[in-house]
Amino acid sequence: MDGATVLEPESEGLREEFASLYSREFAIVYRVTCLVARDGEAAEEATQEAFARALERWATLAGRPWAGAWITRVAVNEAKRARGSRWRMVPLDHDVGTPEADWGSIISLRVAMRGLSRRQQEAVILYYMRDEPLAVVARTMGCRIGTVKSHLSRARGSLHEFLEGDDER
Amino acid sequence: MSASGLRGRIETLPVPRPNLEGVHRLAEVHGKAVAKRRALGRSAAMVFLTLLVAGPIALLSPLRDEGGTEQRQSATSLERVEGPGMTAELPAGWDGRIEYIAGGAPAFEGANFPLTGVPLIAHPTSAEQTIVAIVDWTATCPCPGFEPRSLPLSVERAAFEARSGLPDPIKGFRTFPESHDFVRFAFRIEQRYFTLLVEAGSRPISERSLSEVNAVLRSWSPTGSLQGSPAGEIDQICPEGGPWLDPDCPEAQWVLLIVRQAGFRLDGDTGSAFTIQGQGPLLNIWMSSRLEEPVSPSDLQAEGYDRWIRIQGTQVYAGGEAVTWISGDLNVWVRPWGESGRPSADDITALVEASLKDPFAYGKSSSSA
Repeated sequence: MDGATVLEPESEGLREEFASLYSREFAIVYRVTCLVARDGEAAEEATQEAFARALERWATLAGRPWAGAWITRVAVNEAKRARGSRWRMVPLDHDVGTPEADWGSIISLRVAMRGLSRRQQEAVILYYMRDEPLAVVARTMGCRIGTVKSHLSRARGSLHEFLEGDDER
Repeated sequence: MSASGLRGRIETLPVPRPNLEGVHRLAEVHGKAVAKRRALGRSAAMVFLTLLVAGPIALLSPLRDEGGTEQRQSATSLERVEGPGMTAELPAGWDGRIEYIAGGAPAFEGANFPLTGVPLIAHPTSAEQTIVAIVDWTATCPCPGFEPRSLPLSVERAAFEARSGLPDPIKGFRTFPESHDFVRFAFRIEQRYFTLLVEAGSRPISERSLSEVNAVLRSWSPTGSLQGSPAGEIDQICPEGGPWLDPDCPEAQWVLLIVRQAGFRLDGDTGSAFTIQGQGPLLNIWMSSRLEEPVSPSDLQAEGYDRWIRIQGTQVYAGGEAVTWISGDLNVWVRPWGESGRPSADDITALVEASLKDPFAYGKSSSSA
């Protein structure tokens, strides 16, 4: 993408549509990225990076039902990539929002997620955490619906304690 | 979805303040950087390599073997950076990263200031700042003029006096401010080919900066095979297929290889596929492991794929906009990026032919890498 693909001011409709998606999706993208990132700051960087890439391509992403899933996957991949190339520990001290985070549960979930294969992680994030239909998960993961189901089935074995109330649709 | 389910659990996680302006700024930086890479990327790299052939061997001499006689900094003050094909340690206060640059070459950067933006763009902006960059050109080589060296690496103060003006593969004929000290040269470790740049914001480079630079260089080493594959150990690192773009995954490296061999330009990635361009519009390309996800012709037919064209005995299937074929242990998938309609037969033929020259097989490194 070259600079011309970044939205021009006259693309007001697209700009507003992107702003709306950003407002709607930022929290969920950040939260699932937190599960695989090394820390909150890295998750925030990866989330911003993913939205920036979406903005560059917004003329083609706008209106697509899988845009949110696409951004999530970019953010998760970006966080994993950063985790592999730069290690540093930054305390999670800049966050705002719900003060009653269930850290014990989140850390347990994070540990359990890391026990999954990468494909299983992707399937779980898109299906259970983003609540995307199987067809969108398959489209985003570049595989067949049957393969998504297979990943989810294997992941459920490791995540059963967290899956109360979650059934495969 | 029940609140007691997975989503319910993560919804207690605090979220930072959204920053839409920051997203716009990032996108603008991306746009400018990619435009610059497009203008100067591959052709400049070839000019660079050509000039290296003709360049005086004296330019390649500053690198010397240390024999391990100098003391390394204490382990407690070093931070390890690992990435595709390389690893290094950074002194306290240094930032570092190993990422792919345009064209798919892995690049290490270490600096005593924060590294932001795309790789190989940062440079010192004050007297106390120093940056070290090593680019792995193995996938583009073998190349003449790269002086054989062994580990550990280091540079001497005298090496900076040459002020060799070799072109930067990304920025073209980069010039250095008179007030900056710098050294750059090309070297080879067995069958792996690298260029090194050290730039300091002062001239001469300070004793402290030189000491830190050498600490970084002594700790730096290629990983994987030294026989020509930038990441020969990756079969063990990424045994289950991995994401499409993980630089540690052999599948992603193989796709980059066939993209280069087919004469396509790497435009970037989408997070789930590489974005490339041949003769037609931008395409997305990714792979899936046939060990993990064996896709039979009946599976494809069930999902609306039909036999499309046959290239060198390999059947290419097309379903709607997506195209797929088998090469070794992988299914390769191509889809237009932001366009409607099927990729052109010419583009697909080039990619299929490149993929068949060295089909991907688990348990062996690509012989062409």
